This record gives sequence, C-alpha cells and structure tokens, in this order.
Amino acid sequence: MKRFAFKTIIFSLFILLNFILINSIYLGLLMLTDWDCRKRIESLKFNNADFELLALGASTTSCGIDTEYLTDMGIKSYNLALDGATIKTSYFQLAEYLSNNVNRPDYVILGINPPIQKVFDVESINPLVEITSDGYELSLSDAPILRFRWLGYELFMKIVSRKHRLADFSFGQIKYKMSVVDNTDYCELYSEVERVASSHWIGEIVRLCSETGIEMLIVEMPGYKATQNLSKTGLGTIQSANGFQAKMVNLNSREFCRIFEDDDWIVNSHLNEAGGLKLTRELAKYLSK
Amino acid sequence: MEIVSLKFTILSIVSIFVYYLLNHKYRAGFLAVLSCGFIATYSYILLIYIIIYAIFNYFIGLSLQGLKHKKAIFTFGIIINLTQLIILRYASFTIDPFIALFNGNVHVGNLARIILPIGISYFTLQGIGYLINLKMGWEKPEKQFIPFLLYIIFYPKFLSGPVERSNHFLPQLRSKIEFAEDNVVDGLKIAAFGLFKKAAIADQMALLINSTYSNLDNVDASTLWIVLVLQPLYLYFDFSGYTDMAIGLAKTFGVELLPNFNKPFLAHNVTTFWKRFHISLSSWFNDYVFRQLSFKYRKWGINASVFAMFVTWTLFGIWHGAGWNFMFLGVLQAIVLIYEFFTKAWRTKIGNNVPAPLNIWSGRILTYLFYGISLVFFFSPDLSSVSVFFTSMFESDRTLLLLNPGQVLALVMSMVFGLIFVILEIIQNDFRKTDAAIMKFWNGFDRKHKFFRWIVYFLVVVIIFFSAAEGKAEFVYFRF
Repeated sequence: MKRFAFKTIIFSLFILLNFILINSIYLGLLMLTDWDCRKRIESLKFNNADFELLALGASTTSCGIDTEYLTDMGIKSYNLALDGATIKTSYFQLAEYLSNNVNRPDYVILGINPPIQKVFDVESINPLVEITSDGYELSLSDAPILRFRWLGYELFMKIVSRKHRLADFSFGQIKYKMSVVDNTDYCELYSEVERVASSHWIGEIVRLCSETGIEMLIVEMPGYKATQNLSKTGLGTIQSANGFQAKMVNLNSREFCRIFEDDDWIVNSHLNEAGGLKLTRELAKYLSK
Repeated sequence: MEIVSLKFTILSIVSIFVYYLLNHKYRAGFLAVLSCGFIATYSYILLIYIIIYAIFNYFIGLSLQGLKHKKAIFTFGIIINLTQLIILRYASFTIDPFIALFNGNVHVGNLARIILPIGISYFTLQGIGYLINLKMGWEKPEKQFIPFLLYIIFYPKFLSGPVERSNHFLPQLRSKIEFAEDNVVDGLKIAAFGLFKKAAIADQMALLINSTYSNLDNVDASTLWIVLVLQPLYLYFDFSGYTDMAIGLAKTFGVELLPNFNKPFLAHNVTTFWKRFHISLSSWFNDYVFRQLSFKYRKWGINASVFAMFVTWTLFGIWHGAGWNFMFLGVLQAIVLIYEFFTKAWRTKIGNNVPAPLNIWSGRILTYLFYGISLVFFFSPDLSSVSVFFTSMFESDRTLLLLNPGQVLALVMSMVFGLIFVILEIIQNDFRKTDAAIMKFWNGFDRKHKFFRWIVYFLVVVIIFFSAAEGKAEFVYFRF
C-alpha cells in the first residue's frame, strides 16, 4: 500500500510537471504566433495612447478594417477586434481602453455581421480578454491548453498550411494574403436594423460613446453572397434600447458588395488584405460624412 | 455529480486509499455510503426511493426461501418491479394516454419528474434478475442488507451498467478483498482509457451527431450520410467509455463487473454483434426472457424460438425508451436475427465459396452499416424524425452545415483516435502475433519502456483535459 501511495505521488508529480511544461510551451507558441494574442498583449500596453479611431468587433472586423490605411490618411487608428469576440467583449475592451488611456478616440467603429453573430447579446467574454483583465482570479480551468483550445486550431492551420502563415499584422488588423472564392448563393435577406437597435450590449457601447463624446459608427460588415442583404447601403441613425443614438451603415448590401472581386475573400465572409483595403476606402467616405 | 470531472477523479482516487485502509468488515458499508452520496448528488428523493426499492427486493428475496406461497411472492415481486418501471419510465407512453381516453386529467408521468429515476432501467433488471435467480434456485437469498443494497446502488455501475448478476456480484463481497497493487493499477488504467474514449472521441463526435438530430429539418444531406456512418462509433466510444470507467473503478475496489463490449465491430453478422455489444444487457434478455419463453413454449418446436426471439428483441427495443421508434429498433433487430437464424446454413455454404477475408470483411461492413441504420431509430426523437432522416439523405437543396472549422478539426482528431482504437482491436482479433509483439513492447520492464508508458499516460491525460475543456456531452445511456 505504501509503495502504491509513493508511486501515485510520483506519477501525479510527473503529470503535474509535464502539464505545466506543455502549458508553458503552448502559451509561448501562442504569444509568438497568434495574431489575437499579440494584439491583446500590444493593446494591454497602451497607456497614453492617442488613437483617433478604434475598430471593435469580431474576426470580420479584425480582417476587414484597414487601420494602417486610415492612419496613413491622417486618422490614427487601431483595430481592437478579436476572433469570435461577442458584443459584450467589445464593450469590455472599449471600457478598459477608456479607463487606461486619458486621450479619448474621436471615433469608434463597431463592426457587426448579423448572419454570423446570430445572437448579439451573448453574455460570455472572449477568454483572452477575460483572463487578462484586471481583477480576474486565475484557476486551473484557465490553463492555456484548456482555455485557448480554439487558438490551437489556428496554430495547427499555420503549421500545416503556408497560406495561413502568409499574413501581416499591422495596427491591430490581420492582413491575409490568401484568397478563397465565394461559391455561395444569394438568399433573400434584409439588414436587421431593429435587432441591432434592441441589442443590450450594442446599446451599452452606444451609451459609453455618447457619455464620453465619441462618434460611434455601427458597420454591418460585408460577407459572402449567402449573407448579403437586399437593403439599401446608406447611412442612417439608430436609437438604441437604452435611448442613445448612433450612426449605422449597411455595407453588407448586394449593391455595395459589388466592389469586391472573387479573390478579395478568405474563408467564410472574411476579407483578405485587398478586400479590407477596398472596404476601408469606402468606409473612409462615410467617416468624412 | 459529473463523472467526467476532476472532482470525481480526485474523489475516486482518495476513496481507493480510504477503502483499503479500512477494516475488511466495513468496506462494503463504505462503498454503500459512497454510492448513496453519489446518488444524492442527483436527487435525495431518488436516493430514498432506491433504498425503499432495495429493501423491498431484499425482503421478497428472503421470503422466497420459505416453501409456502413461493410462487405468489415471486409473482408479486416481479409485478411490483415492473409496475414501478412502467410508472416511472413508460407512463407517458402507456398509462397517461389511457387515462386521457377517459378524459382523466391525471398525469402519472409527472411522478418521474419528482423522483428523477436515473438508472431505473438498470437497477430494475438487476432486481428482477435476482428474484428469478432465487426462484430458479440458481442462488440463495442474500442475508445481509448492505451487500444487497450495494448490488443495487454500487456507484460505478449505477448510471449505465453493466447490468450485474447477483450471483456474480454478491459472492465477491462475501470474500475478503486484499489490496493488490496490480488490480488497482489495472483498474485505474482501464478507467483512464475509458475517460479518454468518452472525452476525446465520443464527446467530439457528439457535437455533430446531436446537432444533426436537433436540426433534421434543414441539415445538409452529406452530413446525414456522415452521421449514418459515424453514429455506431460514437455510441460505442461513449458507452464503452463509460463501461470502462465503471469496470476500472470497480476493479480498484477489488470488484469485477461483467464485461459489456468485446470488439463489436469485428462481428461479421448481427447475431454475433449482439454477443459483443452491450453484452450484459443482451445476455440478460437472452437468459431471463428468450430462454424462459422458448422453454415454456418448447412444444411449438422451432416456432417457439422465433416467437421468443421476436418478443425478446421487441422488449429489448422498448427497454431503451418509451416510443415507437425504440420498438421499431427492437423489431428491426428481431427480423434480421430471425433471418440470420433461418439462413445460417445457406449463408455458410455461400461463404465457403468466397475467400475468407472477403467473406469476413463483407460481413463486418454489412453488420456495421445495418447497426448504423438501426441507430437512426435510436437517436431520433420519434418515428416522423426517422422518416425525415432517411428521405433527407437524398435531397440536394439542403445547405445547413453544422460545425465551425475548430469543431471539424476536433471531429477529425476524434476520428483519428477512434481509428487507432479500432485498428488495435483488429490487430488483437485478427493478427495475434503482431498483438503479442505490441503487448511485449508495451509491458516491457526496463526504464525505456516504463518511460514510454508514462509518456503515453501523460498524453492521454492531456488530451482528456484538452478535449473536456471544449464541451461535454451527457453519456448517451444516462437516459436509461
């Protein structure tokens, strides 16, 4: 029995030490190779940042808003959007940025994609943001191989596919070089302005921007043909559920999306570098309005 | 309490040490307390109910020892066992529609919501099996209550079996169980690989299978074909994963549970498949239903076997749940088994004229596909969903894809792990020499081999953690 107990302890230590080792290696690899990890680390260092424009949202925004181009145009910008980020995550990121930086941005762009973000008011926060936020208490379940499993997929794809490695990271935007032709078919869809207006967390971002004097623009991000809508492209104003107002522009209309070529896309409604540049050029026109 | 959890794992390991530190006399009591605690984490009412159930069967068993009114007591015991099963498990299918016919407003099925009869299909079979054993004189009644209670509630097997036999389980508790390191280590290894099967393989496949059955109306046809082929593996890894955990954990306490699986997908016909899949249940139905019926009606000659087979497999289907789809599942098995029964000589003759590997592998593939088709009845909520499944497989206008790229990768990884297990089973079954060589390497005594084993165990643990983090699916057989 004693021998067994001793063996159990030794084996447990072996597992524990290797578990720590594996997690450290995994975390190290992610910090070096994962765009979202790098972005989060970079954005956490912003202390006296003076960005005039922040882009928030999920992966479609992260790929689609060319903040380097906007900066070159004279609007110093950063793309804070993260893969799979919920609207609540975007709210959290904006609140965190505003509390860490004295200079407020002039504009906030919130990229949304209704057909992909089927529910805007998901209560979870992107784990990268959650566990690196102030006051968060780490537990065993936050071990990188448990918490960042989905980043392992990206890492795996980078290992096996050169196309996935071929990307640049600039001003928070991920610029993919590869292209995947959109083979989907059109569906009869319309821009869901009411759903956007009634979203609690979009309302909270609108409120935060209004209270801090930031111009906010909600952008329905372009997607594959199957997600594009028949509504008009134009700029409008929405009234959020909590009574604040924000501008919204529909850039996912079939009419607008004609600017994109077949090779402007990467998988599942995400724009590559060339597509992102085209989108941002058009978006700049709306910003100037 | 969740079985696939760190809490359960740590508690189980601590329990092993406490168990062996205790005096032999108190060990059964300790396991009974552990089992009661385990059941109480699901429902206190269930715990009280099951203790009453065990007391009832214990006293019925003792009463069967006397010669007077033996048959009446036995019949009473069986009726009560079946009645409680029907009320708590099949009321919505049998009693409530009957009451509704007379405009009654009573829903007997609501009782199940109060008692939460988890594991009822298993412990009822064990209760009935015990009474039949006593009636047939195959064993003597258990005089002590704690071992009998443990037979009903022993926590490793409580939720999903194996369906134990009293004459296999109870004698083990009567003998003194000494600490044997090899037994404990073997048990932990079996349990760990069971956990691996569940977390790293079945749970990843569950994402696709479960979302397919909940989106049957618009899921893409190619997905349905994939599901049809994948679902036998999913159920196998889910259920055999649980069984391995149960058998492994029981083994650490020095208790051997009945085997439940024996490389089922290497069966080359449906008859042998059911001798290899969910063995404890199919053998229970074979011993307590099929044999009893075919003996009772032996005067009918061969028709007695056909009748017994039909009844047995229909009941086998109904055992799985209250629904016409489950009954069809059983009937489908009965039809094929009866077909195989009557065509055995003819099939053997044809088989002898075909090269052996072709004969065996075509049989294996057909059996596997037949089981895949049968499982559409098992996983579908009702018969209309079964119909939707089969018709949608040939419709090309469906576009809904269910998994994101990360989930597809997880599914592919689970299929790779699953394939490794299946290949190892094929080697074990068909290539004995290669299997012996692998086992010799695996069991090597020197440091290199030991280190290799530890690395494999470590990888198993890491993959379990990695897989369990993404999402857990309930064990399929928990609903029984």
